[in-house]
Amino acid sequence: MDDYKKKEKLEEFMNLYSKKIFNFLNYAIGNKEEAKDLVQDVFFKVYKSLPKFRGDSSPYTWIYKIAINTLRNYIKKKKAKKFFSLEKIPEEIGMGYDPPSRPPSILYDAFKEMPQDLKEVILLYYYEEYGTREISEILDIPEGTVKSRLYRAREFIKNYFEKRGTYGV
Amino acid sequence: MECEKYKEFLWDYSEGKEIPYEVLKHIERCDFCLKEMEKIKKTLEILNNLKENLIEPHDIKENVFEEIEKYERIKKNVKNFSLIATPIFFIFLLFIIFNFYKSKKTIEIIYPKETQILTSEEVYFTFKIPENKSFVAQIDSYDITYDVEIFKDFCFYDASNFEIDPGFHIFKINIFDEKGKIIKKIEKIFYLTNYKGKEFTYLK
Repeated sequence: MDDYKKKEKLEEFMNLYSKKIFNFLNYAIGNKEEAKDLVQDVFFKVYKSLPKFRGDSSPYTWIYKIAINTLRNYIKKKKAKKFFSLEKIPEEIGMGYDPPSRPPSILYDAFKEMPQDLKEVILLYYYEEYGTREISEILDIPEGTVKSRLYRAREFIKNYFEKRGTYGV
Repeated sequence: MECEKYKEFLWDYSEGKEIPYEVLKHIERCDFCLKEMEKIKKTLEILNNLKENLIEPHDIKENVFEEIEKYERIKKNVKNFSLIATPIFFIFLLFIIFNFYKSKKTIEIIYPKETQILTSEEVYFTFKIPENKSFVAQIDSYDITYDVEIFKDFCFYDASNFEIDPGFHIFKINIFDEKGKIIKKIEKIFYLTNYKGKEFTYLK
């Protein structure tokens, strides 16, 4: 694939998916600027890997795999930075959390405290509307694990809301 | 508690999925499960809002293409550099290999050194030879002062001893391989004093 075709293909993918992936990353890390950097990084990687893409899965699933890996690396770096830095960096990846007005910021607060593996599954399920089989393909884990993580993630949010009195109980 | 084992079905039921009849019967009669269902429905309402009001990211495309341009430029420069650097590297490598091979083939006199006090009455020569090489050295010695041939001798492999009078001497050493072909010629002029301790100096 020559450079011109690669750029053309990338532009097509960006038109279709950049907004969705940007919002997914923004939900996952809660920082618009950093989500923007990450989505740029994702599409840069997509461009570099385009010749290797054989179409075994849909382009969207393939791009999502890249996005998930980029997100995981970002979180690893963040944790390493926190570990080696003397500065106090806020807990988890919610630093500089910048939630929009909708959905309710309480959901962002819940995401901030939710373990990363659960957050990936719940975002892919409710935000991306992927089925459990597709999620298992993207995350490279068995479908049963996806289902159990999904259940744990839902319960996590429900319990979080319950503790914050969101249900008015 | 019976409700505990049906908990997972409450989510499925709230999302309109089919659940076993037995579970359904339980839910309809259980106050706790009905209350849980209310909470689940509210949670799902919030979760379903995730798809709405998405933020439009700006300048992403421009930034990515800018990054790609930089990347392609660097890639091109590296390619150009490697076009020049690769042959240079191989020439350098050949030079190193050639010198290594040459050094392996070199036969040198390692004793006596350039200037040395000899401890014996005799001069004996030791050659450094490459591993697994056999050779024969023909040594012709002349006394320069009297223009007299002192001796002709052959030595095998590594060392040969001669007794030489003090004075200036020329040593011509031809080294032959097993087939009788000369592989190295060494010509040395040296000076041997008549003092005790015999000072030995190569002049050339």
